[in-house]
Amino acid sequence: MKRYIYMAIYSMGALIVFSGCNGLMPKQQVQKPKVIKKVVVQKIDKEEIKQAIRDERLAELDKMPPKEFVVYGEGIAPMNTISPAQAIALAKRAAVTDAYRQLGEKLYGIRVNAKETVKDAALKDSRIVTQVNGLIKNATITENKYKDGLYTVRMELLLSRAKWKEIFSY
Amino acid sequence: MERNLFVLILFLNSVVGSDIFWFSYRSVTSNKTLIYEEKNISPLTNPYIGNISSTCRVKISRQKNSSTLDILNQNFYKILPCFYSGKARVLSQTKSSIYSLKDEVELKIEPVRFIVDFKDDFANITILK
Repeated sequence: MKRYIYMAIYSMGALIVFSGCNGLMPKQQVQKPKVIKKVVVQKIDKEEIKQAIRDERLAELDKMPPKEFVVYGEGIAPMNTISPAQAIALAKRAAVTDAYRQLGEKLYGIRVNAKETVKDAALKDSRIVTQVNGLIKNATITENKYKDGLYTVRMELLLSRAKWKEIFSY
Repeated sequence: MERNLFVLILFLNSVVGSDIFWFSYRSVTSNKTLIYEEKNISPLTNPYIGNISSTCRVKISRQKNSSTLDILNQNFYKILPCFYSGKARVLSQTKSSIYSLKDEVELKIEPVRFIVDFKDDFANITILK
């Protein structure tokens, strides 16, 4: 009988030793920091919000690759030139002017006015006037060649998306 | 401080020490053939200090006994491509009727100030804003 009592006492002692007296010690209470919630009332202007949205959009557009416009201008040498060199030089300038016109068409569009005259149910006259008017900046000539009296220039214009949006957002 | 002064002297030398000119150009083409040209290079009368817009190198050699303006006028078509990247105004009109078509394009390079700096066998053209 005693043997059983000793065994019970030993096993209780072993339990206390291995449990590290955890159950006997009082638990420490962890205090959580108190979060003080403040309500900040801030007056925001409508224009400021619009500007912020606009800036954000422009920032997004800046990340996109620039828009590239490529045109091929053509020029013909005039008949009354004194030398082939002069003919080429004049044809080149005509080609550059044509390339600029094409860039203007792409960037600004074309104004078209048309007039048709009908007499006795038959077309008498038809006149179409197309106009381009614009300012072009930073255009570069990348290629040029002269063949069979025709001078061709390749002109390109790189325009960032943000700039494009800024100028042509109509 | 010394470095800033050195850069300032260099900048002033490049701007004031060189010749400043005006450049403008106008051409009209009809049916893809050049019919009219207006070239202008003239010296600037008032001193001007402006920001550099772009630079361009052209193969021109300075001849003795000739002024800078004469050299620029003689080599006008060599320096013209330097100004294509600037502001160019284009005005085009195409008139088509039943039997004919006439296409007219006017190109105008707006007046711009530039500095020319002659080296041994080339010249640096600096376009100012």
